[in-house]
Amino acid sequence: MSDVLPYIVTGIISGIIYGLAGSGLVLTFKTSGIFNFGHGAVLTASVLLFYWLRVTLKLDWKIAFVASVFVAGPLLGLVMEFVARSLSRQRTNMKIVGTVGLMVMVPALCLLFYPASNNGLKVKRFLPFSNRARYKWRLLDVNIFGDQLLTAGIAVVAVVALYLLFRFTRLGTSMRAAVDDPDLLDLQGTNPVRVRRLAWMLGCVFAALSGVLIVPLVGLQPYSLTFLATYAFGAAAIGGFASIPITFIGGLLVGVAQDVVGYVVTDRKWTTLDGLPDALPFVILFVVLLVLPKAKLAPKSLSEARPPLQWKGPPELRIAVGVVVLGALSLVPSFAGAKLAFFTFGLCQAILILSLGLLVKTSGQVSLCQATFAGISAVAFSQFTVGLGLPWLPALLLAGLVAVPVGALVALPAIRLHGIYLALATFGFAILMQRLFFPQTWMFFTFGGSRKVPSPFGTTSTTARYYVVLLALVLTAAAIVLISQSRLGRVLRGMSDTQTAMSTLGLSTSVTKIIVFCISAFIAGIGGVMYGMVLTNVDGSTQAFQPFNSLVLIAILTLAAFREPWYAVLAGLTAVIPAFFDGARTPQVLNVGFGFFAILVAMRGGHPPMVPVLQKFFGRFGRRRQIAVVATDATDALDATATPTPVAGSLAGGLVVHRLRVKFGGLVAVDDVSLTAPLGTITGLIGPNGAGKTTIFNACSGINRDVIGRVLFKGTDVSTRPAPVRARMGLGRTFQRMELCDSLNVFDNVALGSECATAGRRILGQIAAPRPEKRATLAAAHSALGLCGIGHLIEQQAGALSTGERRLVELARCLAGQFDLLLLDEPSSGLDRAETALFADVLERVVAERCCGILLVEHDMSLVLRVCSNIYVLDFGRLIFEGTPSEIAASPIVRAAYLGSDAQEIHEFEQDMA
Amino acid sequence: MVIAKAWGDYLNAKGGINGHPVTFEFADGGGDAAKAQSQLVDLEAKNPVAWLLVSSSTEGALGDALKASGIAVLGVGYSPSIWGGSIAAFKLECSTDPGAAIACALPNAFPIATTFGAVVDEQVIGAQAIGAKILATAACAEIAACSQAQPVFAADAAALGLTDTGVVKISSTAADYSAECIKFVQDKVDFVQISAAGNVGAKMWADCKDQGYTGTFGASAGSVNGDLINVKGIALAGGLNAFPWWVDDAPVKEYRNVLTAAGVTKNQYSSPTMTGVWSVLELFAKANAKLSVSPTKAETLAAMYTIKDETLNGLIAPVTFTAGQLASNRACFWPYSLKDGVFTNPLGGLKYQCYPPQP
Repeated sequence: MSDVLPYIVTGIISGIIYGLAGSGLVLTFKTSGIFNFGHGAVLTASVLLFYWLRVTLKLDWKIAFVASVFVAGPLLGLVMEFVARSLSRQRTNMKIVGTVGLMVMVPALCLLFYPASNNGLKVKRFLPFSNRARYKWRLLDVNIFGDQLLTAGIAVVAVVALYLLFRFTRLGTSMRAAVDDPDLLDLQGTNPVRVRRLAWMLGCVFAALSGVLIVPLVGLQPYSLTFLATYAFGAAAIGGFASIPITFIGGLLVGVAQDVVGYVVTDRKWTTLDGLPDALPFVILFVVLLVLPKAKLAPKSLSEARPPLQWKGPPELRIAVGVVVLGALSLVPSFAGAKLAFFTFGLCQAILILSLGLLVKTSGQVSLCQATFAGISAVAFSQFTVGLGLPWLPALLLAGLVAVPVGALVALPAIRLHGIYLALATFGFAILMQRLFFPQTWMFFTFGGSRKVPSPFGTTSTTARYYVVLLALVLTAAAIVLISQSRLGRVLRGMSDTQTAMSTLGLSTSVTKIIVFCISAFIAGIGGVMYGMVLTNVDGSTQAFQPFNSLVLIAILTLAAFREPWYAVLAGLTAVIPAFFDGARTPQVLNVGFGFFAILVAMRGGHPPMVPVLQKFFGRFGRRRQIAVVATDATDALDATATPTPVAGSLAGGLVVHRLRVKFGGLVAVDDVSLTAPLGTITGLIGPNGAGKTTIFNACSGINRDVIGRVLFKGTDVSTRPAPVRARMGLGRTFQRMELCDSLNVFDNVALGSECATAGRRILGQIAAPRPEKRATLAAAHSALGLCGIGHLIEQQAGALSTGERRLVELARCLAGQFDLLLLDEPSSGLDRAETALFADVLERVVAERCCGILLVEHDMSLVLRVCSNIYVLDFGRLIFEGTPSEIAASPIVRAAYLGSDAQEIHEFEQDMA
Repeated sequence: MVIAKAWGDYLNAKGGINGHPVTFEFADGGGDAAKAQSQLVDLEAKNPVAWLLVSSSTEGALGDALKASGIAVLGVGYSPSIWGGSIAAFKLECSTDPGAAIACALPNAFPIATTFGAVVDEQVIGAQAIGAKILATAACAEIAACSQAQPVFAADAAALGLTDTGVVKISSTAADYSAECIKFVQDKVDFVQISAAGNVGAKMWADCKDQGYTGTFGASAGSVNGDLINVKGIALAGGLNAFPWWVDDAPVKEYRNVLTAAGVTKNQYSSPTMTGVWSVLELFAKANAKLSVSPTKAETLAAMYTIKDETLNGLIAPVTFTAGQLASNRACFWPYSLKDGVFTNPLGGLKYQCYPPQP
């Protein structure tokens, strides 16, 4: 044990810096909801300024220190707040790219200013007590120095001060509230933007302070400094991404664990694990993300911008463009000359981008380990061909398959995580692989120095290799387009837009995530083999397989406009730029550009749609299509969606809620509520805003399972069953805040209502639909569209519709599914009177002819009183009345409940009653 | 580049190679494989009579094209796919079998310096030469290749009766290497082989001195450069894969004088990579002393095979190239130690050592 003690001391010294950097990171995350992957980039930018002032301009260290930490830090904070404010409205993948872009941009910028910093530029110790011969003490066999103690002291004082500010001051309370409820904060007279701005300024001061304190130890080495802050991710994970003091302690623990584990591994000569100490922060990060309660990892804000509308050209135009592009690519060897290598690598990059695009653009998942998949397959291919002597093509496919289980492994955290936590997990995984597994003998570690990656038929012709890669790209692109147009494509886009809705339609999104990660890993693996083949030899330092390349890939992907597969072609072309601008600084200039424009695109939420003039122009190249005739006769439509149902009014087939209680922290949102919604009838659930109606729906549909009481459906207790299972049992729902798949057109949205439950949790079922299922989906979708009177909208993108139309699409989606009981949450909101009347007809006919049940939450009392046979009234989470429409209308209790509500609602209520 | 250019100017002033002035076309791949491959095609179009490949991190990606070019490949690299390799401790010789652990040199490559495998051997021998008994390796954590030599290093140490305490991985992003240094002190290590970037080694040296480490650091071949050798008070030892630049033998003096006159700084020429470049250029000039009026790549390639037991007045260990045979693997090196800012060759002057000892 005594042998270990010195390592605890040294670990604390390293850990203090991780803790300091982590504290700033957590501060900004807590207050803005944006996890700043670029925290290290902020740190690096401050160090760059410090170096310029202190070393280049030879200014006094105190001036350089104050300027870098207390001037540049807050200024960077202002910039970051501006960026974060835009990002906070965007979808999660944009939030991630927005800060990952910094990691790509800032180190490159630093290299442009100081090219020699690539090898590290030394900065002399500047703090007082830096004379190590004079200020030296010995503790547990470790020499400790004055500057180290001063650094530790500054860090501890800074973190304690931050904690006190956060915990005990009004500003601290405001900072905490800035994410939880900014509107409430605003109402109380505190501007949430100003509070966040202050938080970002403080967070960036912490990043700058960490950087300036550490620069005498690390030197000005931009990539090292940028990645140094990623060690703090492990510390932040220990602090649950929320607690500043625990994050600081987490930093200390990470530092101590690194040094102690390093000692043990070296002492025991566990050579297989000799990369573990360095990978430890990422192991901790990965493990914490897997074990931390899901509730702690819930997104800070559910409000996200809709994806930009996408224009899809007519098929004739797409085919023509495809032929032209393929023709041009086929001719490249004839004119590229010496630059052919750039084009070949560009094609390899396009394959990798396609693999990433499937994840990010199509399914809304984020992977920061795509380059790792590529490296794994490249090694496997070398092993299969050179080691085992397998033929080229089978070896290629097998090598791609090797990446599949790795993709599934990465998908495990994806099942319970989403957004930034998934990105963190994949980033941690990439570094874990690089540090721990890449040096293993079965990976890149070979006596020969590198692994040979042969070409087919042993060709050494660069032209032949180009065409091999082009063929691989064409096949990959075709596969991606096929996927996009298949059921899997719809399901993936649906999951990207609204995972919640997809679950309540019956889709097991866990299976979907595993599928998409596996396919993506396979394609990345093929890209990796192609890359290796062009390089002819690969090793652990091959740039294409490094974690940093994964960051560059996602930045490039964000920049690339258009739909699949064209974004990949554009992204591939970026690899050709250095062929024509071959200055020594071109890579840095490109990375600055990729990073900067990725941030801009992310702040805007993606690329804007093509301007209407161009849409019109390109649209002319397609044949005019007859919009599919949609059944408008309600009887026919109902026949198509009809499902065998139990006897009307049957409770055995209906929904029974028994003594339901739902709490959010200390707030009881629903208290001891029991109700029934039989089949063959429409049951109303009314109450003022905030009464708990949607909370009951969430409990019934399985979105929230953290409840007390029982939910029975068709006589089965479904309280513990997840949402997709309940949906597949026949429980469907719509949402108060509409959950449509905005990037899909209306038809695909409605079709998902049928095919989500059909696909369910079957892997093959999610990938493709057999012909009978296709027919059934088509019929169900058309009939539901007809029923809701929106057949004329089928080719419109859902995100472009009016609120009323969107309500109808959501209802149609629900009706297309084989649901026996529908939970409709304010479905008439946004409809005008005529539409509402039609809507009431639809509900009555659906119930009458399909014998299904409806539990209706609605504020339009005239609608409720017209269609419901029984109504429950909820107030402050408790049931206060139950009765027929006439009993409700006469009830003083109900009136009193509404009188407690806002004037408009009371007025409407009284009008409805009248 | 500065060394080659200075050598070219110096030679041209003396009349070039058999009356032919020497010109260089330089290209810097910048670590980008695509760029390097593209540059190679561009350069080949200019009908060069030799390739000079120096410290190229992308040389592995150029192997096929270099071989196909049929032009003599000169240089001081390490990639076995170009220069071949061997590991004496494991009795591993190169093989032309594609599945072999170590490849042989390209048929048109002419290595003069210690190549893969043997470069590790030289470090252990170098450690033994300065009296070290307990060894360790500090390898970079980010690149798999950094720890690649460790088993060879351990086997060599065992073969020479030394104790190897294993490898510690060091990350360039780490704030402090005190823990690793304390382990060296605890284990009484007196020789730490640095298998990482020079600046990382320099940082580690500072931390280890602070923690009371009194031994020596090991650096080999191309790692012996300004980042490390200019660190104040550093004690370095190991082997060089090209002649030592500080000795006072006549051909080395000429090396220094020529370069100094050409404005090349001491910092620039004080590296085995630079002395290696000088050596291969001298060898090329010697082989082509009877160059025809219209030289071709075939002629210069054939001329290289006229080299038999050549030492360039002691600048290189004897080399022989034979047409139709792959170049043999080099396992000879110059031991060195650096203490108090002074380089010495324990064997003296330009004397070198081979492993296993040559008959």
